[in-house]
Amino acid sequence: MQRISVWRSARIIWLLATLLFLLAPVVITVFGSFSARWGRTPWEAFTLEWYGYVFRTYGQAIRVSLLVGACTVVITTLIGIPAGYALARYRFWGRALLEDALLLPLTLPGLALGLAIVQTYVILRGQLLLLIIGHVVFTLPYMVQMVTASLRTGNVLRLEAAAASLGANWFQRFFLVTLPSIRNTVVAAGLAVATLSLGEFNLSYFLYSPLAMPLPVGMYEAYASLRIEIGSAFTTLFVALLLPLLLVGQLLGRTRATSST
Amino acid sequence: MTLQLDRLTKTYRDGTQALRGISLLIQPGEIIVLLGPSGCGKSTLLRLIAGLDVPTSGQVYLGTRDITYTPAERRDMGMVFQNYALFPHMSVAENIGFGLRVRGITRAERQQRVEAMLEKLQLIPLADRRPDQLSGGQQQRVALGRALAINPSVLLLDEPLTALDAQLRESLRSELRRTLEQFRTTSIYVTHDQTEAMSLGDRVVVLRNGLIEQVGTPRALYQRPASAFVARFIGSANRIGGVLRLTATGPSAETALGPVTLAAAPAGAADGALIDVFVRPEDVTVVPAAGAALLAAIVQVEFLGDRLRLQVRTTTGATITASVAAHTMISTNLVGLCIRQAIALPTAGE
Amino acid sequence: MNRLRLLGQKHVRVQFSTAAALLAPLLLVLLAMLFIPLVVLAAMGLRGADGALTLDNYLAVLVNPRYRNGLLTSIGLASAVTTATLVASTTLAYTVVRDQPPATALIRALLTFPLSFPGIVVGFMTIILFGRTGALPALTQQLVGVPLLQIAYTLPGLFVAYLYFEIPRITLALAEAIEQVDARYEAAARTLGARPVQVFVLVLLPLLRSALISSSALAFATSMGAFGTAYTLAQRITILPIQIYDAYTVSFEFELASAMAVVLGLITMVALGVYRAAVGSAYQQQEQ
Repeated sequence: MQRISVWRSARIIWLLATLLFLLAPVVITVFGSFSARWGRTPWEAFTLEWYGYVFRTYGQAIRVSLLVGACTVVITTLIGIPAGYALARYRFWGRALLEDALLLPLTLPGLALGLAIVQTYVILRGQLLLLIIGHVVFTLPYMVQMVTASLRTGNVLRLEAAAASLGANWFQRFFLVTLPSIRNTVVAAGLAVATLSLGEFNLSYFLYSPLAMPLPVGMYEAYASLRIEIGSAFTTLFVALLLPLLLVGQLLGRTRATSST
Repeated sequence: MTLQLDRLTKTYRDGTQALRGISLLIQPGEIIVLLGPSGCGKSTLLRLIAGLDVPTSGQVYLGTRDITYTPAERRDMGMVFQNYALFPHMSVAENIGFGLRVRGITRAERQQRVEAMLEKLQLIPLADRRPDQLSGGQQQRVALGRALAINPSVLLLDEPLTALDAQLRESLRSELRRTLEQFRTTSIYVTHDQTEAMSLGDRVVVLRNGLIEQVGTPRALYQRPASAFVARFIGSANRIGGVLRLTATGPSAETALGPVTLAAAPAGAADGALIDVFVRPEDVTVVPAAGAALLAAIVQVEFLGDRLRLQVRTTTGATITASVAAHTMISTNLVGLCIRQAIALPTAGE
Repeated sequence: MNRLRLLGQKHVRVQFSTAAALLAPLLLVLLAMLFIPLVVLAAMGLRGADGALTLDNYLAVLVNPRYRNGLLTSIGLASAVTTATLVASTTLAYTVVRDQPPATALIRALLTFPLSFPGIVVGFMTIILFGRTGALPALTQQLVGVPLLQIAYTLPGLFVAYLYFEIPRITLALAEAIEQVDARYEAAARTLGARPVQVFVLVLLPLLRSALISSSALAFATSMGAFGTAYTLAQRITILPIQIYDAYTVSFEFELASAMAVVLGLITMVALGVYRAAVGSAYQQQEQ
């Protein structure tokens, strides 16, 4: 007993140390963004100067990303729900192949895809549309997978069968039973898509136009060429932007917004 | 070696008291059944005995050794789990040899002992199968073999039959009984099913709300339950109020069903005391109405194959359940009743 | 459930056309933004400087010492990150699920939080910890008088950054897998005399096999293709993604960049295949 609890304590310390590794830099970033001098705490030397700079210089980038994110969520949802429904309810030739293809954007490096897209659509380069569709192809798999998984649960199937037995036709079943019962999943998936889109860098870096630079590209620029305090302010702002999405996602259950490296 | 439980209590972090002082002495070779409804603490008790959990207070002794805080892996107690928990990535032989392998027993000896166990349990042709290729009965034998292969000081069984369907449960129960008798290892069997308890246990421990309600042989529990709870949990019983009569011919009771012969008077109760009288459905017999002392109207008849289960309402206003042989002729709606004997308990405000 | 599924399956032909209609937008997007570009990319890689068909670019990736070195460094880095992540995450996931640490829900939420960080933010977090003005160099300055661990812009720094990226997601994936494992297997092993290490190695790890394989594949693929983190930290380190970017934007060798991107894509596709196979077999096990 004694020995086991020693090991258990060691493992829990290891877990806490890992959390420290993951979260300490976030805390330092937030502190640094409010401090007039790097290495000082905000209550020693409070300033909003860095935020002012970020808003002045990158306000446009934030607006672009919010617009792109919103468009991406809408398009992804409109395409993803019917596709997820078809994958979950119908059997057809090539279904397994399609599901495999949907795994592709999961592991295919954004760099490779970005390079591929930009060389294919040379004329469209710099159009906001290209950026949005790029984000759509990158986020669609998450939406489709979550919708499909949720529709495949026995519960939704039973509800649909019950509705059919009560005389509901296909449209009534879909809009009165199926859609409401996967509503939480769709919202969660939409939030995940928004999170992914707001932070997407690899693809965006190849597809953006210098006139409509998205947030992550601006953030990269701040990291690369400006003071660490400004980078911190921008990062804090970005995290603050994501936080409500993440919190709602947590409340709705399990969201796995998986960004790319 | 005897296994002794001494005033075991277990309170969980959330404040639930799973066990509230359990003391019990288990003799070598005995088959003990821990019986009780869900939440009575029987599974917690088994986990404390197995060493998978530690008590809040109290001790567990194996022989004279205090093993209260000895971890499971150093107790040498084989355990059979619900659904059997056979390792899905190992063959039957590997499952049975697992306990020997982790003890560092040489491959040659291990093989020999595994083969002996396979033979005893008639599993030789299945030695290389995976658990998911076995029937429920075969899985049970492998689980028993795995637990017995380490020559356990005590064999623990945690509701092994609960997850099975009714028919399989019955046939596996008799097979289990044969195996337990064949090995005669001290065994502790947890169940919520009174039929299993009655057919498997040398002694049955009835648990309720973390306390022992009664310990005894299945027969003793059935015939002389110590409480209304046991009377109803083991078998079923009609409960009626009555007044105790102690006469030269033996104890009896005045009840709403008339005078009833009692198996025994409740300890310490005087003549004229108010008592609870329990009548087993099978102690109620149906006789022709003509000349019967107690008349009743039949409310409901359930045909159970070998028995008929009757709901009757007596002219005195009591509703009771009777279980009679299926061939009993019931011609009229009005029948006579005869109470063969009854169980008396002191009135407890239950 | 199969009977329920029959609900929409009476008329196979109707079904096919309905499915096609529902899937059309998805297929269009995949075709336009995934398949055609990938074909174009592969074709670009086959073009020589004079526009003729050639395998030179692909060969260069494997033969030219500079590019081969980048490829090997990338593979080495991804392998090291995958191994370290797996070791760390398995123990962490075990602790989260089986050790019942206080405030488990909070711990899980905190582990989920960094999942939303894109690669460049992960790079920035590494700078915060290990950069020239980073927390650990500042700390060691205080303690021993010399700033140590200024590794953010080196290969070890990249390694740490990738760990930062992989550990939370692989830990959560494995935690989910451990939850699926019936705790009775571990209890059974213990009652049979297995010490904690034996329970872990002989019972838990084999039961987690497919989750471990799919997790490694995912970790390897994402570490291989990571661009944002590398670009933030390691512009001077020769790893494949940086070389691709340089070839495309600095030296304008579009064909070579495409060939390297195809090689990178193929490596991650292999990883994806492994992932798919592992997940598939896990699914079959559950079906049984």
